[in-house]
Amino acid sequence: MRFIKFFFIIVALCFLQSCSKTSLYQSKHYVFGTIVDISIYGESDKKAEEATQAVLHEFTRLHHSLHAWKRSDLTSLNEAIAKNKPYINPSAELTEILKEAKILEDASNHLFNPAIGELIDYWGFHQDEFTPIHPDKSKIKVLVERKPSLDQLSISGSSISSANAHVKIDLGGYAKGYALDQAKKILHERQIKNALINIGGNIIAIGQHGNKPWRVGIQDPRGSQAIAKLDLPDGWAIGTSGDYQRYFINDGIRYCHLIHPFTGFPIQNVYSVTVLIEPAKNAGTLSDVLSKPLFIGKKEDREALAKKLNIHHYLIIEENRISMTQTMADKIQFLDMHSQKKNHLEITH
Amino acid sequence: MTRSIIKIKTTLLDHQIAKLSAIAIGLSLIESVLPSPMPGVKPGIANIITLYAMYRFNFKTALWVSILRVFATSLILGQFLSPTFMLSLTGSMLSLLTLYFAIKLPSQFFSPIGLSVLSSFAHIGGQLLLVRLWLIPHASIYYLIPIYSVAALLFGFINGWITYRLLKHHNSI
Amino acid sequence: MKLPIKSFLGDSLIILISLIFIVFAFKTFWHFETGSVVQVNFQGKTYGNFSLFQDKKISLIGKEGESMIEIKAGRARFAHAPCKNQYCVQQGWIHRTGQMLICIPNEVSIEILGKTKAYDSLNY
Repeated sequence: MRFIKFFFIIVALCFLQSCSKTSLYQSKHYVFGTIVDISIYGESDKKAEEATQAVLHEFTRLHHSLHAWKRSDLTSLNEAIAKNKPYINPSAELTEILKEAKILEDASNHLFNPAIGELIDYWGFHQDEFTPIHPDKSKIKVLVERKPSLDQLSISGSSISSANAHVKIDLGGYAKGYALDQAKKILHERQIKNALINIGGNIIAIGQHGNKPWRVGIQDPRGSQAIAKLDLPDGWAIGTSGDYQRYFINDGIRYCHLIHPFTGFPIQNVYSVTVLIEPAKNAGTLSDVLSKPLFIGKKEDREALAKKLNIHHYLIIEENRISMTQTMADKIQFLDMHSQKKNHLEITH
Repeated sequence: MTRSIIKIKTTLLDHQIAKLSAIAIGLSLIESVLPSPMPGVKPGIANIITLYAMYRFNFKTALWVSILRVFATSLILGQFLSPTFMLSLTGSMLSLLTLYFAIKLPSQFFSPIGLSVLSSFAHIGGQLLLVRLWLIPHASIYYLIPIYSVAALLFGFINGWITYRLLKHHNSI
Repeated sequence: MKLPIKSFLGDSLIILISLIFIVFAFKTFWHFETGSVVQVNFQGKTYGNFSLFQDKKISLIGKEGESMIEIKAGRARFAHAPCKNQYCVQQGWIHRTGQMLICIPNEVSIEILGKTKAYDSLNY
């Protein structure tokens, strides 16, 4: 009889034990103009919270420093350029960023071009909400022919000036990735060994989710669900450019925010491009930047361009067609059998 | 034509086995009509006979009793060669195997109670393995382990205690 | 076996180990969260995963006959089974992660899968 009582006490105790805390600290915030999702694994709540706050603080700082159209260091720079005046005493960070961005612009054959702010503004994407416009071909031609480029910048520690007053810098395709790299640095400093940071869809992984890697889903560009998932190992980053986040539809035609610098028009018929970047000091930045040239560039040039930019793993979704590299195909797992069936799957090299 | 009479010589052992098996089969049948809270959770009272046979006589007797019980019960219930039969057989065989080794444990410290608990864990272990490996391969049987373990401990203890009392009564222990 | 039993030390040891194992088994294998998907397995393969948040009846014809699975109000059950014992039907509704109902004769089983997401974060 004593035994039975003892037995039931043990059983009761274990039921209580089951309500233990998980060691995943997750938080969502609206910062940097977008939704930021931070997951930290294996740390005390206190440490995780402090680290999260530090990262958010940094994001807010970057947001204020690099905003493309609201009052910021960047807009001050753009104003100076527009007036043909030098921008005095730029922050070390800004000069670094611009130098890096310039290298990437050249490497991408100018398909990634942060200097086309005037075009982006014309199409209405320099607002939080955009209204459809009727494109004026002649006006666009004028803007295109101004050929703004970061190459026209003279960058030094004491000033930045531009040979072309029509250079208007928009770091929209760079800043989120850069912020990821910054966040990684901050978390390392705070000895956070396992975290996953998602800024507006751009993700970088630190460590693992317990005893398995962090896992990310890839959005279906025409649906609200994830179309595929893959593991993101330590240090890897993933970024997607898509026509489904910032766009408007006019007369049945979709105009997204990814504009071809040579034509002045938004790209059509590409739904999304996802790039997977191997660990590197600027993995985050690359994951943001490198999806753009593949999205904007011509289909037949993609392979060569990817090779030039050292992009080994990418996935492109177009209407009824999903193409990806073999290495990407090996890594991803489609979640939706239906999409696999109705799309022509193509594996390039 | 001369009438041929086939005489089967029965030994005392045969009689013992027959008697015990009959009781075991009877217990099995009674148990089959009792409601159980969950499939697979059974008091397994026929195991008392198996264990008793092991202590009172020897392992060979227990083996025979067990096999006869499983086969006869399933034939009577019309479950011969069904998954239920397979489960019963697997559980019993693994249970017996465990007893074969467990009986060698020093009996100053280990009574039928402990052996019964061991054999009932072996019994459910064998059944869960059969389910996982053959009957329903993809099933996540882990969910069942806690409940089955509780049943194994509880009924193993009770059956073992009953066996112990029976053996004591017969001064066999 | 006519040796006297001096003490029940060995038995107690066995029982103690069993208890420890049981506690471990509960902690490891039992989840108390409500699941969101029920996986239906038929004849050794996964027939499909269905959301628990819908009203649905799934009919499977196995070698014993028709098994009818019903999903309603976040729970699932065997509404009808062709087997003799009707164990699976008698168990009633399940809704917690890891809970499972099996109909061995007809080779049908249903299991509640957890709310564990397919991925930690979404790239978009």
